[in-house]
Amino acid sequence: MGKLAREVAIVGAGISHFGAFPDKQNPDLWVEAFLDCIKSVDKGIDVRKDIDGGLYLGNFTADLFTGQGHLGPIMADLVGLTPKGATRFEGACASSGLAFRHAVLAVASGVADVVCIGGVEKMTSLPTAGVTEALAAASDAVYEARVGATFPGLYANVASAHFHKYGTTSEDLFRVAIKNHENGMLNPKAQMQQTIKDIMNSKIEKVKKSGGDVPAWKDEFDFLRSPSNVMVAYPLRLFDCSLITDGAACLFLAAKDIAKKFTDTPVLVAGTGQGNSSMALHDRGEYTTFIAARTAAEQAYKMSGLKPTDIKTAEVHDCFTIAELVAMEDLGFAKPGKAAELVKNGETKINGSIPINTDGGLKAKGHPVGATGAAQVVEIFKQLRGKADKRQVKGNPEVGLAHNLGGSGGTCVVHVFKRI
Amino acid sequence: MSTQKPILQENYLAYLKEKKLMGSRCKACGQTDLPPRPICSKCLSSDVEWIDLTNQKGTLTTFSCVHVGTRKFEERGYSAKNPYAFGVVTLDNGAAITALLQGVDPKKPETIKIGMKMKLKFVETQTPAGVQVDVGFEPL
Repeated sequence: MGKLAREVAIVGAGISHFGAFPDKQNPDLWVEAFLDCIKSVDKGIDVRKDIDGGLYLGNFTADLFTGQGHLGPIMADLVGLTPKGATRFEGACASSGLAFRHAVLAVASGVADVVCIGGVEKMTSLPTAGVTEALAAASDAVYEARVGATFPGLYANVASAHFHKYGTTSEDLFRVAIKNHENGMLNPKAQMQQTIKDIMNSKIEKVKKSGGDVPAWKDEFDFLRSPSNVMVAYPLRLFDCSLITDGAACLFLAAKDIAKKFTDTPVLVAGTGQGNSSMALHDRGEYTTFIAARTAAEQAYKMSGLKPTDIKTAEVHDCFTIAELVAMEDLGFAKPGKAAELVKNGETKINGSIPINTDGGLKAKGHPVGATGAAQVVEIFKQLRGKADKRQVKGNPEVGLAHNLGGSGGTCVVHVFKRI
Repeated sequence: MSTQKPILQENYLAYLKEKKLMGSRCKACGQTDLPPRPICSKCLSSDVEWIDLTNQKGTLTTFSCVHVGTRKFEERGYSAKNPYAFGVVTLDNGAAITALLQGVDPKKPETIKIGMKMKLKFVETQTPAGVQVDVGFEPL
């Protein structure tokens, strides 16, 4: 147990632009990501001939966002995968992390030699209230949503507990947002390519032009503490929340022994893990950590034979700033309650000892929920191949990790990757 | 022969409507589950019965004050100007539940303290389908 029957490698990875695109629907986003993926396969791939295992697709709820269910065959058909089979995976915000894991298992089992795995979500088709409603479907409808739980509200409960237990502060959370925006600025596909300081300054300019009272913000912390950073669910404010995003991601997986047919620089899936927990926070008895994440991480580390200190770059699920700190603790990058210190010391920046969310994370790159898990792996693939351009982690990172969390921690998928 | 109602979500909600907070108690190991479960969360026995938790006191375990609520809560008059609070209350017998917080000021979250002792106070809301009763707690 705990070992793949044969090794699996990523041979291609691509991503669409992330943002709010009134003129792009799920199929358009998906095709953009697929074509970007094709481009990354340096020795070329004949989709019809080489991909024998069809499509593994993550999507949370096109049903609610766009009125279209059964996305698998639609997306497979658009990219030449008919009639090889197409399966849609749903695990809230971990949908394409789940799809990725099951695509790995398909190749590892020998059922297929090469598969396509992706994720797609069109969210901006609904107004914000509708998006909040659709996302709330990933919490417990009777025992949580009925008494007022929203997604920011549930993570705010996690934040309140973390503040109370460890003395974590709003400033600690602001540092996560500031860092992820700095990274997003270096990512041409990110939804927010602006630092928080830039956003603050453009607000000041706007007020100056309109002749109003110019806010006396000393720095971005001052701005983030101000009422301009509106409260969403105390203690979480607007800049603690990830974005509402349209986007897609796509990867090709192959059995390791044939991976070099497609590229000289494949990336090995060294470990895969998955965990779950009870759906409602109140059933867990712990509010500052996610057992689903600890379980998934333990499996992935064990399979890979690697440990937290081996990880040189990580993508973690920062749907809210507090979630990035909790992820760092669940993954063993910091002891419980100590993640904020690493962030404060700059260790999670691109030039730090454990760079986290180099692509801007869900906070700045964006969070098309069903595409997020796959998009995280795309970034790790780029980093381990040295192809992350301006945001490339120095020193040729050899090992990376992706952590994809669904809902308020009901589902978690963790993967560890290694350059071959 | 026991004539108890089956442990169903519908029956839990029907009890709520009668202003009773009902959990389940495992006859095999004594575990109390709230919300009730037809299979004990501790020993997996399905020999469980209803237990009335209406008079239990509890402690505020964590909370949030929501400024951007769902549509249903906006319809109840909540907004950024009139936020509401919800959180987890752990009962003295160890079971925990998510509840609306009453008798606190969501505009002054610093006055809401984790660890506060709480007691049940049901929340009644007029809906097109009649009065809806939900779990609420207020400071003791």
